[in-house]
Amino acid sequence: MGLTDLIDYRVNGECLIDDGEYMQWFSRTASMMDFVYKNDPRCSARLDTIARRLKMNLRVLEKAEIEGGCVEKDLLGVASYACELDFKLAKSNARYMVFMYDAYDTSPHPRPCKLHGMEFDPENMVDVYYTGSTKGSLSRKVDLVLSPGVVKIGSGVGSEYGTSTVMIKRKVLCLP
Amino acid sequence: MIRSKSVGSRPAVRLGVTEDSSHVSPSASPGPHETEAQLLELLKRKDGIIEEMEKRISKLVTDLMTTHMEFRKMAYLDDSDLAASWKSLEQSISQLVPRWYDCSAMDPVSVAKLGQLFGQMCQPELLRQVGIGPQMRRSLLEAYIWRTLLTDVFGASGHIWAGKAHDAISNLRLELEGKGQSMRKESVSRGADGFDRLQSQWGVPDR
Repeated sequence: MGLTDLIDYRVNGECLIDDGEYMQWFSRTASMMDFVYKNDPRCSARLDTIARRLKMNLRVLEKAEIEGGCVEKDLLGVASYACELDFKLAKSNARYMVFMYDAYDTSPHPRPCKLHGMEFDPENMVDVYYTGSTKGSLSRKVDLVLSPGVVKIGSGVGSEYGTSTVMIKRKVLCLP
Repeated sequence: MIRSKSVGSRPAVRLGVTEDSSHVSPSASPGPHETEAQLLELLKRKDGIIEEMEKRISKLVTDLMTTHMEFRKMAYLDDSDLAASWKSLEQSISQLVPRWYDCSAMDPVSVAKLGQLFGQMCQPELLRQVGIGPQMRRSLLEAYIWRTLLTDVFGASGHIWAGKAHDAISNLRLELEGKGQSMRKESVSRGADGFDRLQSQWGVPDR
């Protein structure tokens, strides 16, 4: 039975998969990609594209005296590191959701959502005001989401998919 | 009559006694002591083979267990490891921005460009303050880089590590996670303890 048949059988037949089985599949599939990530030129090509696009979009804000190539190299380093981190998350038994605006940000079917103006939620946000001080008022509206948060679903050993933990809180800015 | 048997790929051992004894000359036939000695030798060899096979099976089981443990270990992401990696990424981005981008002085063209890039990301009042606050500009640039990473690396279209298999994995994940019509067990996925409740829990409340 081929992979497609297997999926078809499990999806369309009587045998449906639960969250644990799904995560096991995803984790193992990602683990098998280890050799791909190291050797496939497509990986580096995609990272190059991300770095180049970032560089182009932010070019007008660059410092004047910068030599060509430096910024892109730095941006490529950040994108590569982010990719390594994403790979770690994918290989894990637990499911991780990385999101800035909504938990569905990284799902295959993201929902339209507000990019600002949502209620400040101390459970999964840290209000880092631009002076560097940290505030935690409950009645504030978020003006800018600075960096994403990470929520872990399930345990590290591949169970308890009904529980979740905020691993990283979103950094947000709320104007006074 | 003693028959030789072939075990696996091992060639059959002939003891000098054929199936049809009529074809065996009396002079070539071994004596009873010789046959017994050969039988004992054969049994000894058989025991040796069994012992060797048992050792190999034991080693295979050990290797399998080790691989299994390694896999489990590989699939285990320690919370502190994640926190450290995340912090390192945050630092890289926050250091990159002031290194290459001018956040101190900004001409009208740059401010207008900021408006185009970040107009939807933040509250308009915050954007107006960009003109006077270098730290705010820096924050916006950081947010823009994070947003790009979120979409292109951590997002559903990410899976950069999959290389050639990118499209296949993305599509399969798309299928398996379903569009509202989950193909996973409803009792788990759509119930009180499934992903969806947790995803809703972390959703924006006043959408």
